Amino acid sequence: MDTHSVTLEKSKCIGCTDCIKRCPTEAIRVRNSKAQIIEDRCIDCGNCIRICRNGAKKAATDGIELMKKYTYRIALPAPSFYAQFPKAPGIEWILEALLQIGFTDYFEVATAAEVISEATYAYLKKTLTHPVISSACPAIVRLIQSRFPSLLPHILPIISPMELAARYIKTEYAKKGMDIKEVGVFFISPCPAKATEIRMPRGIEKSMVDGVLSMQDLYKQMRNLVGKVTPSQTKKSSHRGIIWATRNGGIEEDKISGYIAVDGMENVINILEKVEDGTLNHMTFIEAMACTGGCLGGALTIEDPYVSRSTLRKWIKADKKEEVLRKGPVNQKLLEAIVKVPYGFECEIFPSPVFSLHTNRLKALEMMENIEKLYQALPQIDCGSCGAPTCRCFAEDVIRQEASSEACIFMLRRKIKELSDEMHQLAYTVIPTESHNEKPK
Amino acid sequence: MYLQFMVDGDDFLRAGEASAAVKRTLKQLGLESSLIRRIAIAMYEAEMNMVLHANGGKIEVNLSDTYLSILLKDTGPGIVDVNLAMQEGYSTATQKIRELGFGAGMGLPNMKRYSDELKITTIVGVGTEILLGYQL
Repeated sequence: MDTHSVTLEKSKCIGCTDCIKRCPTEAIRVRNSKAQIIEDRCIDCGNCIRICRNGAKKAATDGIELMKKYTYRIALPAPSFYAQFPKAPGIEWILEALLQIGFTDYFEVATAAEVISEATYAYLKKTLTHPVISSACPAIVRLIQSRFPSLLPHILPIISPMELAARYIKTEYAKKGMDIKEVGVFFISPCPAKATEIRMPRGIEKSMVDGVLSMQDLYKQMRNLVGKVTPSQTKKSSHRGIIWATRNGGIEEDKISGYIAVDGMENVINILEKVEDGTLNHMTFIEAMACTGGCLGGALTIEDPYVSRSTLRKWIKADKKEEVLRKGPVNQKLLEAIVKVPYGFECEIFPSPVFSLHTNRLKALEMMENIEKLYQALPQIDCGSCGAPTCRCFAEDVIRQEASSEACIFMLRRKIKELSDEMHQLAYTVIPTESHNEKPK
Repeated sequence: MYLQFMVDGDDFLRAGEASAAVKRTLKQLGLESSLIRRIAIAMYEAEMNMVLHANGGKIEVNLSDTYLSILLKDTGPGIVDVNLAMQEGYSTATQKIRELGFGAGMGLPNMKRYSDELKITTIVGVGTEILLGYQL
């Protein structure tokens, strides 16, 4: 299987410049009128899936049929999944519908998220590296690896709620005596980046999640069921976990001072630039999400992120009310059990210096000079006709010998003019055996 | 390699663009990320100072395989007492500038802390030249 989760359906691609312009890591080029993803640079953020007007970009998540391989099929619904059913009577109805479509059990990621929130507060209190950047959005971690490697020490060294949920539920099944090979754990994901995350996890050796299913795939089957089922169990998550899916993420602002929640790739990049420049050293925590609207705006979601936020707010409010009535969290014992599962990072996250021109510094310098020279000769209007997102990026491609300078229509036109001028001049050349009267006018 | 940037003293939105461009170049050169970070912090600080105190100026960057020099030239008011300006917390910023989040008095101290070489040449009423140097 491919390591990346964003793929191109060639027949649908018309070679326009929409996706190359929106890619935050300049990972797409149009070549031979088809988009091409540069694998090393792709961070699976899903921007191109969202922007493609022809639906040529696809998220390569696992198929639902993967479930059949396992006797015990456990769904891990992300809290953002609940928001896809704004008309559901409550979260329990959505969970029940999961059991109707073939899962034998479920475990709410929101519950694990509560534990991660607490672990985050504890880490923020003891660390000296500020600001800490959340590790929950895998596209952001990949962005930091490639574009902001100096910020790697700022990443929160704690696994994602998805991973903790998977670890906990597998441990529980093993305790009950089930053969772990028969237990399949499936994350129901709002984005393609999570699918990459289980294939190439960062911070841990191996993911406990066996498959990542797209919300869109499950939605089709569950849409009509959600209103009809009768819930058999009560939910185990609380508002503290569900809030993770909202734009502000899982941190309660009143618990820490100096907190930034930023969403949308361009906005995140601006903030990370500031962290790199040292102007945000006074901040404690940065919750950065690649998608506008956070996970609710993921490329695999169905509902509009702003509608979704309102839906979740409704349920969060209801749960807060319930909590007052029952005088305490619904899931205290469960949380105490989950917290015993290890949740710290086990290995280092390394930079992926995809933008470095050459391993030899002198050679890189020489290439840089040539890029600068070529860039000065280009029109600098970033039209995208050459297949690269910007003139500067095109200059880099040419010097890396991945494109020819004539791919720029302005350079080509200049060259054609030079050639035609030369031909025009040649036409005036006097040939000794020729009569002077025939000189072209 | 030689790069030159003109810094507009009235444009807060574009302030920091020269530092961003240099940062991008250094990442392409494949320098160690912690070194890039030091350069970014010092240069950003110096560029912002140019905008805040000197109504802009010119930045000249010289880059070889072993050395980076960043020369920031302005025709601003100059620094009256360099030793005083080098003290942490000392600032001449107005209240308005402080409200924007600047003027904490860490400018020059940070430039010193995050550079291998810092040379300040300043004449009151004429201008200031700041040289940041790095062994690569």
